Amino acid sequence: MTTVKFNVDGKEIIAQEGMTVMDACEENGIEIPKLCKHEALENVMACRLCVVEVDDKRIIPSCGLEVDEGLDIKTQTEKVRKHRRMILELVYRCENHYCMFCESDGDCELQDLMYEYEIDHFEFPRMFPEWPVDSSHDHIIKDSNRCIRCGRCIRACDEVVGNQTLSLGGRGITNKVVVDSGQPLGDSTCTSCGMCMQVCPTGALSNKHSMFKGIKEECELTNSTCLSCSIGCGTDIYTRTGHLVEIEGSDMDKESGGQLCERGRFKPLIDRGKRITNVIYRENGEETELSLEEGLEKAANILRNSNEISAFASGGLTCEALDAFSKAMRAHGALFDIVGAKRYRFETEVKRRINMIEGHFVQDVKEIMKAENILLYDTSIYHTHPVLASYIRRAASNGTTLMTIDAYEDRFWNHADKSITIESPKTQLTRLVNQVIKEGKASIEDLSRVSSILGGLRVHPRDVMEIVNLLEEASYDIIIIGCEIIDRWSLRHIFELAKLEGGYVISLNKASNQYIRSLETEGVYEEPEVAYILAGDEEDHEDMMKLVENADFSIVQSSKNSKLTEMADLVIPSLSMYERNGTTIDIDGNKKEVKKAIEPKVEMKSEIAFFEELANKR
Amino acid sequence: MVRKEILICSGTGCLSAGSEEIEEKLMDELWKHELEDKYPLTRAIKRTGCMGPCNLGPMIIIRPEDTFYGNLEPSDVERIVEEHLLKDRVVYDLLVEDKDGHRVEEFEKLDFIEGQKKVVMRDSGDIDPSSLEDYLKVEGYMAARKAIMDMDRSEIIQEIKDSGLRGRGGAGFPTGLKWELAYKEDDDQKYIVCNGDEGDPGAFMDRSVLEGDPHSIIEGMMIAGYAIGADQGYIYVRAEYPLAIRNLQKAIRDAESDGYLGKNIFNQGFDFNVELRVGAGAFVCGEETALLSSIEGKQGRPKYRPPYPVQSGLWGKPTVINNVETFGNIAMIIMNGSDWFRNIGTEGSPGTKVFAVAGDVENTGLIEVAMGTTIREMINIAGGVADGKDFKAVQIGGPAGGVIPNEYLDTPIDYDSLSEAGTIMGSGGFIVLDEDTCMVDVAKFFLDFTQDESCGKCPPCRLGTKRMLDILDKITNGNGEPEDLDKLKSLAKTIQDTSFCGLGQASPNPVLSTLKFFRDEYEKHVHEKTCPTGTCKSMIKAFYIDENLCVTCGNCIEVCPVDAISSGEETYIIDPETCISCGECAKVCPVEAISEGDE
Repeated sequence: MTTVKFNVDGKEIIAQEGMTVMDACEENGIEIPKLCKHEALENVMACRLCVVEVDDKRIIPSCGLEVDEGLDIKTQTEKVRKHRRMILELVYRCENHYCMFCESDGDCELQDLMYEYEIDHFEFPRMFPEWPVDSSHDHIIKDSNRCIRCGRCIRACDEVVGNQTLSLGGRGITNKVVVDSGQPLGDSTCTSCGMCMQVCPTGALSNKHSMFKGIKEECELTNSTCLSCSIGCGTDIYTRTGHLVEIEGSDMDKESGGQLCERGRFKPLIDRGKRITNVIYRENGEETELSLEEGLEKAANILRNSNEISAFASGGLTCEALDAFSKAMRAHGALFDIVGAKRYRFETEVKRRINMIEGHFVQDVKEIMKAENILLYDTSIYHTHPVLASYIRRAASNGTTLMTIDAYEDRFWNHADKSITIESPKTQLTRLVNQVIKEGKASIEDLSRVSSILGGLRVHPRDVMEIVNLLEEASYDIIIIGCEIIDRWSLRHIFELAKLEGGYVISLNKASNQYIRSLETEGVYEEPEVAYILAGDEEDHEDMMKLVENADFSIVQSSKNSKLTEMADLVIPSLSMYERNGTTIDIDGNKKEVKKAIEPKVEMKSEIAFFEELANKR
Repeated sequence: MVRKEILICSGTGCLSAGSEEIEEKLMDELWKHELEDKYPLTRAIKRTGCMGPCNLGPMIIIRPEDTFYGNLEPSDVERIVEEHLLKDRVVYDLLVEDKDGHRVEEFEKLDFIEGQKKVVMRDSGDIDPSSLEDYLKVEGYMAARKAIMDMDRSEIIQEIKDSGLRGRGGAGFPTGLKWELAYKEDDDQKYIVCNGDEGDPGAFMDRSVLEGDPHSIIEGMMIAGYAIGADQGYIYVRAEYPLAIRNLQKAIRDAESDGYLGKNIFNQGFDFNVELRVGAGAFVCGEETALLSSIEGKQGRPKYRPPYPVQSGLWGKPTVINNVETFGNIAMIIMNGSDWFRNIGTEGSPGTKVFAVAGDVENTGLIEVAMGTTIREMINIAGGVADGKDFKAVQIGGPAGGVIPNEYLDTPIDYDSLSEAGTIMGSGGFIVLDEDTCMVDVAKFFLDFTQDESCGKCPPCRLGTKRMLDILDKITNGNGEPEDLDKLKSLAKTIQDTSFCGLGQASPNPVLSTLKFFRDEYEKHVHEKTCPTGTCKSMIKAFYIDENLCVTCGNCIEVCPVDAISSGEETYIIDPETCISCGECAKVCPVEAISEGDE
């Protein structure tokens, strides 16, 4: 690697060739002000605050200037500071910035710079432009009065989330950030991931649920992993006085761009349901509150005295919690299952049958962004794995051909190049599509036979043939299977297709923690004597509801009040997602740490100890 | 009798002046006199592109004798047909007068035409732009044939380099060098782009060339494409130029069907296609990186250079982007050689430049002159300052340019001399301002334009120009403060130094140059709260009538457009609230009893 030597403020700096002056300066501890540049985003050189004086004559933004041998850079000359002060005053004074009344007071990059450049009086009067405040969104307030047009939100929405909801509209002084073609944010193509808000340097985009709960400096920060789905995004959790204030995505410098989704960023901040603090025992319509000790005894008693026990755990728990729970349940002779595990068991079975090797599976989901073609079976991942969906959109925006096959609804309709949707059960769909693809391969011209099958489903054979041709031609295809495909035949069809075309597979299931792959699970009794449910922080799962309904006696352990806990005969409190220490395993098989961000608000300090005790009371 | 040909100027200017009506009338007359055999309508009347002297429109030229009739009314047509066509007698009173009052018969002898040197505008006004046949008659596509069949790619580039041709978009980058850089890039896909996004207020050179001689641009692009190894060209035109778009579309179609575009051109294995891209009229899209973004289907916002388009342009491929006028020169250079081209113009800026002359001159229109022609000569070609008024300044270079006052009138027009004089060549705007023009108002006009067209990407341009405009507003409204002039300067400095693209960096130029040459005028606005030329209306105080002088004749009441004057017993009274200070009453007062200001 070649290095170059150059001067910054009289100090010699050695940097790698190809670096920008700004990056080289930052590496050497020389701060240069900036408002538009952001580590997660492409550099657009818009804010002009990072100008430096080069060779005592030219004024050049350091974020765009490449290092070069012998450059003489001055970052703090009177001239440069004057320009910066002028630009800061322009930016501050032309919009309606009133720090006293701003949510971002204390968390604002513009304000910091105003202090740094000691701007305590102004040359120009205020302009009082009339800008609207858009509060139509469930989680985000978009206040154009505080917007400095740095374009970070626009780039984040486009480059990181692949969603292109935001753009700059209008010329000259009427220039502003617009949503779609002028819609309110709450009525737009926004996926509510909140990435725009995370990169906004001022108070122009703020979180409704964190507003006025405290500035970041006063919060405690915990780096953890999101347990909303199996992508396992890194999170920066800000807490204050034992409460969640804000959750942001970490690793902004990495390929993922530090994004989170609506579930990861906003849902935990919205208080859903009452917290369960005590054990509740329901008998003959009467409710009694028990202590944790009594509850444990009660549960152990019931488990001991029954033969058919179904234990069912959420997929959003830590490996340690799942382990302890499974051990306790096994000790009582229960059949044990986890959300999403059934799909994984089917997958393993199919793989064995058709002799599908691990080499057919994608090792890193970010590979999606490098694929030539993406074939997506079941577009529900738009909701179940939103960050993965963003990778697909990013790929599609960068020239990857996206093909979607879904029953009912294509949730990638505005990004898909080829979309097949039919109104029929999924098995039938995959079977037919596969048949066409396979038979089409044998004789592409002879479409008459498959036409008759597809005719009934209102799918044009030409569409299917196009998919075949695209898969044929490309050298790097990725086939993604959504979680809603849960039958063995569909999986078999898709896996066979992958083998046939040499595509790589990403198979998604509903468990956030892929520990289900190493933990032994099996189908549970559908109508057991006792059902023991360990719920997570996600919405109630259908199968859990069914079990509780069908069981003679049901035990639900959960952190929050829900339909499930209301139906249960015995309710035991548990920790919430942010009260546990532990680990989780993501879709790529990486072990990630989950850290406790807030102290448990319940008597139970450790579920592991609870389950160990339960196991001992056999 | 020799068969005559009637050329009728159908440039956008003449069309709006009513040339279509004249054409219709001509056809009627030809029919009436049963001249259809002698003058088959499609042959005899030829619609041409812009002829140049726009304020003489509608205009026709009758060939072969080249008689020029301008400022025609439909009623004149009958006489032209009866006299000139039938009896071969020139209709003298319809001829255009020269500045000495003599009637000029021949088009080439017009004052307006005589001083010009036509290279780029060679065919405009001479041929039917919608006819490939016409273009071929004037040696069309001969240069391309020569380049592609007889010349090496490096030979072509050397020829262009030797010619010293500089980009006519305004910055004056050597065209040959640009081509060479793109030629040296190792890539299997390269592009040629023609920048026809002409946006300076009042400038219409590119439009006229595209309208009047579209094939010459295609030919220039072809040669460029062959030279650098590109097989695809794009012409970017704004949607406000429907005629240019129509003529270009026709030209591309014709060239394709006759094998001048497409595959294996001249059987030399060279493929070249041209496509039109129509822009929505954002001024910033004239900036090359913004234009390329726009062609790619993205928002037209400038990108950082380097990499320059020759390294990474359209879709990241090496791209040569040249102005319309630049491409217009190529065929002539290839045909006549670089020495011929170097003989025109000056050492540092060979060739010609087309200007759109507007403002307070006798004859407005397009003027193509050899580089090195002085500004004074230019103004003379345009017939001098209109209405015998005194010259004050000329604004060159559009919103990015500056003004040139009286003392610099002998500055030769070339890239270097103009920048020494404090303005730029620009794309060819040339606005003559007479003594009645307020220079603060001129600066405000151009700044208002740039502010309106700022893309909004960087704060110095988006907000800085607004601040400057606010100050100018304040000054022209009579609220200027002494420190405002310094504020203008310090804002201008920041905008120049820190703006992202040329649009922003150059936006303070109109203000700075007027401030440099006409500071006294600014100071009068600020200190004395008066506009010396009376242009800034809101500064003028209401008029009043001196009761000792008034003879109550009533003249003033009659002319007052806002009924601000009422009759008292001894005298008439002007209501200062209603008065708009137009001064009409003062003009008609027989005893000079009315004057401006407080009593």
